[in-house]
Amino acid sequence: MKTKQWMMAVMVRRDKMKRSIISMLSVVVVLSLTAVTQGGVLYQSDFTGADLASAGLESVLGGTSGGEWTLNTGTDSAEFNDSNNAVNSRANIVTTSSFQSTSGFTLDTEFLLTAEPFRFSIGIVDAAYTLVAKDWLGNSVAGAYGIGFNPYGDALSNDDGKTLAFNNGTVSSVLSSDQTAIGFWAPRKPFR
Amino acid sequence: MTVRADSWSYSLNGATATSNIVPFTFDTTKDYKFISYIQGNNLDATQVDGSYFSNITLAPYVPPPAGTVISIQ
Repeated sequence: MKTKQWMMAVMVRRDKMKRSIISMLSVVVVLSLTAVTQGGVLYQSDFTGADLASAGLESVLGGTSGGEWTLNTGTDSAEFNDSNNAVNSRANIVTTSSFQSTSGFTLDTEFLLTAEPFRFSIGIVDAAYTLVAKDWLGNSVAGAYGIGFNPYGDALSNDDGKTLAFNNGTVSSVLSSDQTAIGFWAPRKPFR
Repeated sequence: MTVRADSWSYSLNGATATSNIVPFTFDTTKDYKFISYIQGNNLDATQVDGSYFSNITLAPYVPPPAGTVISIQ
């Protein structure tokens, strides 16, 4: 009888230990998820505000040719439009903040083109780069150290190359021309 | 698009990702901004009007977690 009671006591203690271990592991998992969430995103667009600045973005250097990125609350997007009915309109759109990650970056975005642009590029660029009214990637703009997708441009893409490219701060070069599934209008094109 | 100090990969429109065909080195010590540039042509003032970004997410690269199995009996 005593042996049976002793065995029961051992089993109860073991169950308590299991529950304690599971609780501790749960705490560790929760803490880990919290750390990932807090450190998981450097920038996330939010187009529900009043203007582009509230989304942490700015339109830069439409120049005399016109062109401006603005907030479109109807489509929850940053939208480009010619601003003075001039041909050859253009503009950069950039985050107002800059970000650093020694482990590297992931960039996910969705875009829609209403027509085939003359030049177009998406990516990340050195925050020290002083923007000019040129394609930072396709035009091999000096100082525009960065990497991105250049589906339409000059030397890199020639409208058909649709390249991933790298600007080493002096000249841009093609890394890949494998991804070509680009088109116009809906659906939006995810770039990841 | 994923970029690290010595590798890259990208995918457009849900296609299988392309990775590291051309090796390179990327300076991950710099500060970076998201950027896009668009330019229409010389003939049509409204050519690319209405083009837009509906989502932009920039995150640090996080390596996949190593598989760990804990068994409690």
